[in-house]
Amino acid sequence: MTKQPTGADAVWPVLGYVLRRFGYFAVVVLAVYTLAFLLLYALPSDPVAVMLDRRSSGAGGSTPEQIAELRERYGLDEPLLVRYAGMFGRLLGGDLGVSFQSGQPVRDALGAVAPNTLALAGAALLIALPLSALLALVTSWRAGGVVHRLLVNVPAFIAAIPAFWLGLLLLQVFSFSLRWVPPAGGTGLAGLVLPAVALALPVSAALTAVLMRSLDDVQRAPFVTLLSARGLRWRRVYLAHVARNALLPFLTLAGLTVGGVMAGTVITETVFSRSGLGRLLVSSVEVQDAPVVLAIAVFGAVVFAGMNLVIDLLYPLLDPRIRRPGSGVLA
Amino acid sequence: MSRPFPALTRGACGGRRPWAALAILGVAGAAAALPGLVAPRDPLAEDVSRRLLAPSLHHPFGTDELGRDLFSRVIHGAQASLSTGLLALAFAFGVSVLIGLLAGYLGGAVDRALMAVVDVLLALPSLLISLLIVASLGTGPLNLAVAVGLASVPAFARVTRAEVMRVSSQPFVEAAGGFGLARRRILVRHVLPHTRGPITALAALELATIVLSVSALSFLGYGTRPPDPEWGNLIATGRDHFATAWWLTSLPGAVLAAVVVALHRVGRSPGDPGTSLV
Repeated sequence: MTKQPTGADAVWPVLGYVLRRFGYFAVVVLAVYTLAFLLLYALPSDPVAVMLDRRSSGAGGSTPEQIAELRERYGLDEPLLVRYAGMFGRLLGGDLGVSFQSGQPVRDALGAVAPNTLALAGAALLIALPLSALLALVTSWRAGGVVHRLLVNVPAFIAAIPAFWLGLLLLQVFSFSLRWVPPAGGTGLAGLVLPAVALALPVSAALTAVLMRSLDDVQRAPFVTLLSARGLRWRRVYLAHVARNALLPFLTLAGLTVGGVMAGTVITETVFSRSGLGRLLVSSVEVQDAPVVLAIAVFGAVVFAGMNLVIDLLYPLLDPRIRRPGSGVLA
Repeated sequence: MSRPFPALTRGACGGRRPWAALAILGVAGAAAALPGLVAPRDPLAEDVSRRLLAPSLHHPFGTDELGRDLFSRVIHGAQASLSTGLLALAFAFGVSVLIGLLAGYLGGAVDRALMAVVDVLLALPSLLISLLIVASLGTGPLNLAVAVGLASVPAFARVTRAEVMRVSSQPFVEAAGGFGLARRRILVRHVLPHTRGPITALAALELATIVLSVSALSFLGYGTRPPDPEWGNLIATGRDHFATAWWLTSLPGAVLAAVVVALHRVGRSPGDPGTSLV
């Protein structure tokens, strides 16, 4: 037996772990901001020229004075580094800038549609996480059994189906043929179900595949043989020991899934003609509305990195091994 | 390492060769290479007397809202979809091999810096990266290929670097160093050729993801413009007649899904879980 850690020994690694997780959160958000800034403002294509190109349809066009005035209004006449730092400062303060396309504050545009997207993404996660856990647990009950052989390739197959086509198929079957749910643009819970399922299915496919592998791997561990040899019922071995060990990595993966769900809303909202951040992003990308695109990208990064931060901070509570100094898990 | 395509000669299920998948890819490849010979009709020829006809022997995939033969449009669409996909793969491949070699060759701080950037990008959904690049470059098939290609660089570069590292640590590379060969020469003439096998196997798998991304972005309206057919935009325009003409979205989608599933089947090793969450 190793000696029991003193209080200080136990606190420091955890504190270091927490600080590192916060650092990772900051790195991801800053990375997305930097990538978006470089692509949208630092590349040779002039945002003002692009904007004027879109706005002036037909004769006329803009005088150099007008262009200079616009460049000044959007702060595009300042040096790149000043804009990079200044814009990040304003983002932190909640000032998301003004849309090139509509001239409205980006904050209002985002605020109007963000709840729709968060509801959709949340509903999809609520479907995807239990569904994939259940599916994986059922499939891996007996490795090599009939159920296992039948279901083991289903997730890979679903993951290979184009997400937008899957959404259209669901719409076709459940809205137009069976008329169970309203077609596109439905509001309330009834309108949310089908888009959430369409968004959840590809995500659950990837989750299920990984969890299934994890369950199969844990089943081969020596301690499982030992437990069975000592006469424990398989149901108890499987649910209390195998599943418990296999579900922890599932938690990390679930955090990464949030990124997939957020990106998936882009497709799902377009397929189901729902208003939301994803659809706003699609139209803003098309007209190269840089402030809106940047704001949505950074917002997505904050949600994604924030969810992962929460999960990482929960880890030491769920897995006591991590709290033990020198376990190596906190490194 | 003597077999250049280990993935192609080993099936996903118990060593059986994926004949069905290879057949699908062969047909799709032929359609993409010579659409004029394979397609029964002109994909752009409109005929208002034959609007929105359901699939029949005459029109296997039916006709669209302007009376154009959907089967011919899907065949011509294969060319747009697959050539954009291959172009994107070429971008991804070129940039990743460069990054992998640089990281493996220079090592130290350069390697750490490059891999730190790659790791952060790896955590982001590739669709987000693609959308940012499209927002920067503008729409169109070429820009779309660049966007999709660059978005898959992080994953590709990681594998390339790992391969360079693996091969570099082998005795024959050490021996080449012992003989006094320049590092650049060792890298290009001895290390690079031996990384070919695993990287090409990955390329087959990556092409599935890339074709999927290309069609998704075309569906969003960033790629080939109508009336020119492309799988993603065929499905997008078919949505306008969704309630009455199911074939306009379902059949091009089924073809796309079949090709992607076939690419997965050919490139995937047994039991490998999905890598893309989108």
